[in-house]
Amino acid sequence: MSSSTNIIEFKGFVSHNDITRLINEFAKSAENLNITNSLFKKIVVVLIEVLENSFHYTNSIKKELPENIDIPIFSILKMKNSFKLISINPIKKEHVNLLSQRISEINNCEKIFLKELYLKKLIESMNNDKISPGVGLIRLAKITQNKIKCSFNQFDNKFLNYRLEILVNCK
Amino acid sequence: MEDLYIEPTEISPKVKFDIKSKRFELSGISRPEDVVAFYDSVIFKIDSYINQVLKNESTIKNLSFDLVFDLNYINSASSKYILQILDLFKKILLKGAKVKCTWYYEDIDDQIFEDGEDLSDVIKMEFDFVERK
Repeated sequence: MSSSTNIIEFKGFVSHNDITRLINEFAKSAENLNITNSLFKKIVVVLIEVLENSFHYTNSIKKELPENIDIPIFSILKMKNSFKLISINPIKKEHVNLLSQRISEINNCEKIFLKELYLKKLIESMNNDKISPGVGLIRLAKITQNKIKCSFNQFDNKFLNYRLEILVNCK
Repeated sequence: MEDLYIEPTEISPKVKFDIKSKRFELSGISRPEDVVAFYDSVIFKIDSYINQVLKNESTIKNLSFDLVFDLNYINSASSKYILQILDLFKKILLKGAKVKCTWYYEDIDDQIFEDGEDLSDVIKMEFDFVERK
């Protein structure tokens, strides 16, 4: 089993202020981790994209969440040759298929075609009414060049816990 | 038409559009909490201005615009709106105006450099990439 050190851990429904605070907290920790500027920026991009996704999604379903729902968790772990960013948040059962399909599409895409997929989605986004271009997950795969790991655990009849794991390699 | 100026915050960029010098600047961090509210007002102003310019087609060729992007971070939601801003300026570029787009980045490994390349590819406009010292 590979050993890991917990660098950041946040429990609760994240706000924009929390994201800023966590970036600053990670920046402080990074000073002692001897990591390159480029690696630091990659991790920060992943941190922001993952937490902003969680923020916007959980906000959109907050009114429907049962009182006893598991609270979201975000953590950054330092592994031997990488950093692992984990996010767990509730998801509505009816949204699981679409998200799983999207992640499968990204994971099945050859690394060299990820940029193409990213640009294609950005072009599509220019003329649609959606608030977000929906390229966050592709961006994560493109930056890290790693597969996106996800799992869904049933909470009740309407909700599941969505666990997302992104690995950022040190080299 | 009045100049446009929005103060930067910890999460939103400085926006400055000086009508007289025809210089548009976006700098700082772009991950506003309400990305639509933030960029809609900017896009509305630029769109109104561009439409005004397009009414005088004969003079467009004499106009020269400077677009300056000096960003430290862009979230994926902001990319869509930055593209829409670029698309507006592209309208007058296609009508013969000179539009110079300068994209600053910290170093070649910088994510922001890649973001600039991606936006340039999508909008099909040439950017001048300048390493910030």
